Amino acid sequence: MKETILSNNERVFVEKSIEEVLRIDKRQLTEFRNLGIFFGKKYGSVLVSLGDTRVFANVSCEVNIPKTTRPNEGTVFINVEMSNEKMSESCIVTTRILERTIRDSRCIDLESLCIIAEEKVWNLRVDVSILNNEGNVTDCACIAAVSALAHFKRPDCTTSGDGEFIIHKSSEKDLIPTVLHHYPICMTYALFKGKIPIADPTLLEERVTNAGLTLGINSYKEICSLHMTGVSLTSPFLIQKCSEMAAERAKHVVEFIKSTLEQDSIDREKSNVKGFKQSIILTNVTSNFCDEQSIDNNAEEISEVASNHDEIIVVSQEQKFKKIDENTISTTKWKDENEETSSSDSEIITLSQSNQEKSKVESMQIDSSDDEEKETIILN
Amino acid sequence: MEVEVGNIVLPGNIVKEAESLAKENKKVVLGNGLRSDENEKVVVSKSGILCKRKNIFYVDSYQKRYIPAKNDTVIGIVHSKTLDFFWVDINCSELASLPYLAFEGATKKNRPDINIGDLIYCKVMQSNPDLEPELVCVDSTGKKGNLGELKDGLMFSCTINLVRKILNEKCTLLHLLSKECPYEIAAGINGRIWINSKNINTTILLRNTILEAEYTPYHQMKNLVDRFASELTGIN
Amino acid sequence: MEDLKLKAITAEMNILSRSDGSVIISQGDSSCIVDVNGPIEVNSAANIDMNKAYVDVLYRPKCGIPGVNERYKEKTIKGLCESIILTTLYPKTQINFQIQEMDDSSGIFACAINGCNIGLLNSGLEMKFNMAAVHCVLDETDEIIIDPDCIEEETLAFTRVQKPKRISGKYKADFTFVFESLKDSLISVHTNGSFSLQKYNEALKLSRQACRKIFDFYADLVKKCSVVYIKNSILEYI
Repeated sequence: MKETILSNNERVFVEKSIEEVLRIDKRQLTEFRNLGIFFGKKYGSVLVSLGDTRVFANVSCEVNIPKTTRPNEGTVFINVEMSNEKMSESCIVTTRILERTIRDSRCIDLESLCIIAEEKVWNLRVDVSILNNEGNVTDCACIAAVSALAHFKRPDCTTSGDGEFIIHKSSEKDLIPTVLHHYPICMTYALFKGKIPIADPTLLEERVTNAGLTLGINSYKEICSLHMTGVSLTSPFLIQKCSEMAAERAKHVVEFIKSTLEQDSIDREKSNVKGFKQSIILTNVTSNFCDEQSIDNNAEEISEVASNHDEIIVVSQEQKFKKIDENTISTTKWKDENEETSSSDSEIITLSQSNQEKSKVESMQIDSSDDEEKETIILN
Repeated sequence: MEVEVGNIVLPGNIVKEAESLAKENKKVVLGNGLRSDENEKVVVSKSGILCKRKNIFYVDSYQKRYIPAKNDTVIGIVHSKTLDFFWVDINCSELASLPYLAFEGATKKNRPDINIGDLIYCKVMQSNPDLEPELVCVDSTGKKGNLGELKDGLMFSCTINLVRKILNEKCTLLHLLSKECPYEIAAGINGRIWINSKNINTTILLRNTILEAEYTPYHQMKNLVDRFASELTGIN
Repeated sequence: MEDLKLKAITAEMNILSRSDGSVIISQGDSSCIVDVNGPIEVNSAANIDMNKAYVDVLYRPKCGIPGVNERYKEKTIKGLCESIILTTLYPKTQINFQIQEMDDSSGIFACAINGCNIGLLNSGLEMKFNMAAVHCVLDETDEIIIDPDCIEEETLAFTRVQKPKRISGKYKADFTFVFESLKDSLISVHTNGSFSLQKYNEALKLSRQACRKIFDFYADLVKKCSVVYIKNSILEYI
């Protein structure tokens, strides 16, 4: 899907309004949008929303051979996907920024991921999926990746001397959380005319000025990564100013992540995990909630037409039954003319079930083999 | 399931009233969201509210993407130029064509002064689903009227429902806003609105007010405009 | 027969601002986000019928890159959506579905299909009818359970499941039935495992009961939001 072209009017308007220290969504120049972090039921999955930008991240693990240059360290692999193919260049840029911020800053304790040096290590894979791009995807993706890593717990494993390697279920041994030395967060500032930095640009602001500055910073005011995009004449003083602002903000964000993690672990202890349902705001007009409903097994209202048509007996080639008994239940025929069945010869049979158990009738078994999964009829 | 006018409908519902009117040999027009199937029943194909105006039945539904229809006035962004026409983006599945000669006073030697990225308020002349839509910037007498290039101001996207709502004669929003401050507005049925006013602040306030009007019922428009006025004076 | 329950469903429409129709749906413990875009420009590279809209489905699993299971799901959902949408009204265009799987406790396929339907309702594309998918399993005691919540403990955290994904060890078979809203008839079935015909018919009957609840849910959802978005603007026309 192509992105719509940016009109000249919008470009001129945004530039003029920034000069007058005004933003279209009524924020201050240094104000960030609302951040929401929602954890899922399984460890390591998180949905993050920064304003209208939404990102989903999931962490999973695998046992692998370590790198030859670092034989006693585990590995982290980050993969970012966007919804449309055309954005693949910015996708790669985001992946690189995340790799530098998270992996190269050594925030994860990779040595704890080692199982047997030079032979087996854990490889953590972070899959980040950009669901909605309303600007500042980098920040959102970084917060998602870091929260997911902090939330993830991997299975425990034991190795015995004679080469036996067991990975334990969570019921046998507790899951081990990932050790993070610090939480690096990205902050993106868009630069207008090389002088005015705008925090957390929306998509329109990002498109108007390509020039931007992304700082990876943690709560100890340490800069983990620096990335500049676009073309702009700027001064070192500006970068310093931005990093001071970012450091202030990073503290708050990291505190927020930690408090959400704590809340999640409290909920889990009380077995009150809500999962992603909590991100659905039920007071919104566009949402609906329906509690558990019991299904009445013997309801009279089953429409005759439908049930007669759909109780199929489509038989595969082998027929193993021995006798057809007349005084028994017979199933109805499949009548629809427009069917496309997967089995070429479909036959109508009557299934017999005698109440007296005298005749040996083997019930029909439709076995699906391991690889094949049956899909029958799709009506057009 | 059978539904009547005023009900909230889902795809698959049947409209009895239209069918019975048709059987009495009266002319029935099926508008947006309705179709007649092989059994000559009138079936709903979109979710929304079933409405009726004289003998036209239609479903008022929520939509963001525009499906071009003849005689709609839309706001387009010029995407590229070819030898004979402009390619214009109007928020539908493909780019629309706008010939150079479809402007007031345009001749082969005198081309309109429009560049890539300009906003154009134009009218859909042809909208066959198999071809790209065709636009014009003149009415049938060859005069430009309100159509043409939109200079300065701010354009923003919204849902098609919002545009139809504010253009509705029962909606007093635009009229009330005009009492508070002077402004210019062009509303394209393709879900784009362009506004321009004295200063940037007012324009931004106007934009936010119009976007909020989507969720405001008619009788509460006055409150919305009062809030707009107080913010306007608060800043000035 | 134990008390059969359809798990709680929560859904919110319109959550992604840049797409034509979107929904986050959570059925029991399975949740996913579906994003519908269309009609949009089609890449003519694909070998497709220009008289109809081309439906393209992308199913993104939680971890790893999409594999054979995901392609299978995409193919089924594509077939379902092609039969639901009035594709002849949008020739030379493409309708994209993107499904992001977020939490899976074995009912994710049914959840994704229901999500696609709500996404279509939100996007304003013309449809013939609605569809509802119900997931049920046959457990070891030969009881049919609708909409179970089974979590495969062993594969909880792993990137790659060593064997192709199957039903969880406890259950003998699982079924996903998809019904349509006009006559409650069956339009698609997806099964795993081995079962007898009698059990299949039982499962079908129970699922048909359950699908009606899902259609009611759709109706409530549309009612709730239509009232605000639209009713205000057309009060005079009723």
